[in-house]
Amino acid sequence: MNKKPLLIKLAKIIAPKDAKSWVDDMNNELNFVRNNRMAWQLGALNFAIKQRFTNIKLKSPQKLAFTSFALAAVLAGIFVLPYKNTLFPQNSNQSSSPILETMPVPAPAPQAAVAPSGAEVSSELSSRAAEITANDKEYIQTDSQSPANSPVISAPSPVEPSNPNLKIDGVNTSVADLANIVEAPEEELEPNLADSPTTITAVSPPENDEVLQAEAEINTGSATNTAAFEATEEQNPVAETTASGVGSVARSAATSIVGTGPTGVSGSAANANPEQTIPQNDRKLESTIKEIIIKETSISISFLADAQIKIYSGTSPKAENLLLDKLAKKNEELVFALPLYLELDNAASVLINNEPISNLATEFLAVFKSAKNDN
Amino acid sequence: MAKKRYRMPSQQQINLLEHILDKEETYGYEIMTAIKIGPGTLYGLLKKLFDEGYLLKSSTLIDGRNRINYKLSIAGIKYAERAIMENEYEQGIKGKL
Repeated sequence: MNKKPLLIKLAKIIAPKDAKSWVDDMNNELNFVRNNRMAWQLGALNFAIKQRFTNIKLKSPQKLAFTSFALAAVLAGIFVLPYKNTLFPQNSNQSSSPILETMPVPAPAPQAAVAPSGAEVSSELSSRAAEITANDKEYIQTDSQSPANSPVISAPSPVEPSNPNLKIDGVNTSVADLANIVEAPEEELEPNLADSPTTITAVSPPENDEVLQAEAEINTGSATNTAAFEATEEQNPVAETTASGVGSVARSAATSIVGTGPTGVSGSAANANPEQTIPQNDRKLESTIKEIIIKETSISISFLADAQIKIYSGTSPKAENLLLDKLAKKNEELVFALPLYLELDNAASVLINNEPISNLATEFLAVFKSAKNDN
Repeated sequence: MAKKRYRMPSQQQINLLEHILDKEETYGYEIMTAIKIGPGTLYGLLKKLFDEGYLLKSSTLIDGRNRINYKLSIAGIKYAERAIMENEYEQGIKGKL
């Protein structure tokens, strides 16, 4: 029997079953090879290795996948986790986005989860518009009939901010002023406000410091806005009915958009002294507007939440740019936000004409306006 | 049995088929020196042809040593002829282009 060279033996070990006979053939042929026998043996080994690799078949790929995953997890546990702080410094764990850094996590809005369709929104809006028109007519009639109501709107009285902490972007806006905004045509409204910023009246006096403080927290968009709002709600049944079914973000956003007096949306109605010169119709109109805005806000809450929080939480230029980018990207959502724009525009015109607000708020509105024009 | 699908062989395979077709019966070392490929590659190609049924093996005893000879089967001859013809046709087209 021929003595097999070592490489041929190795090749035979390596080769799969069906290739072993071919390694034997090569070994037999090696006896006739005169020159470069080593190359022939290496060739046999090469052949065996090639055959071994071409014949690999996975019996259970799932097992292999699971095993490799488990191995990777174990290796990560051994080598990565102990050195986590070294490999990933503490700063890198935080979000790189300034929006995420500053933005408090909003509670999920129940109505935002089930956003109504476009048809539903339009029908709802048309019905609301009809309701507003009816209310306006009623208000005009009542206003003309009762002279006691007219000084509330027309007679200017100096604004006396009772508590500077309660300003929404440094502006006091009354219920009567809101009514005035809705009622008055645009061309009449703006010069009026520009000329006489002191037309705002009926600033409701603060009755409860806790309520005021809670609402101030809401308006600043701090992380405690939900708790603060709840505190308001506990002492204010009107607010509870107005903001029912809307998430905390929606509520805070609505509060911010309306831009009402020192006590916010809910507080102004609830804390207003009945003996003060706020007519019944004003309150009715205000509540209607509030309802609309809350509904619209809940529709476009995903779009507006960031913007609102940014605007009222004091923004950096970087956050401002990011927000504007975000607004530009979300053009399709502006369709839903357009009805809200009308209210925003009214509120903002008061804000802009009375006292300077942040640049971001101005740009935010500019984006809205341009989007409205585009659409 | 399902009919085998024809696949165009590689250039090395065509050279090997040409050589075996010419020689009718040949052995490994001769093929290797004739078509100038390594033993590992050569035996890989031979095994492939054998597995497909195009190659037949036979052993002869020469000086007390066993030598394995290879020749094409009938299917192998047809396959080789077709492969060579197509290769020539392809080369001709490439030459004209």
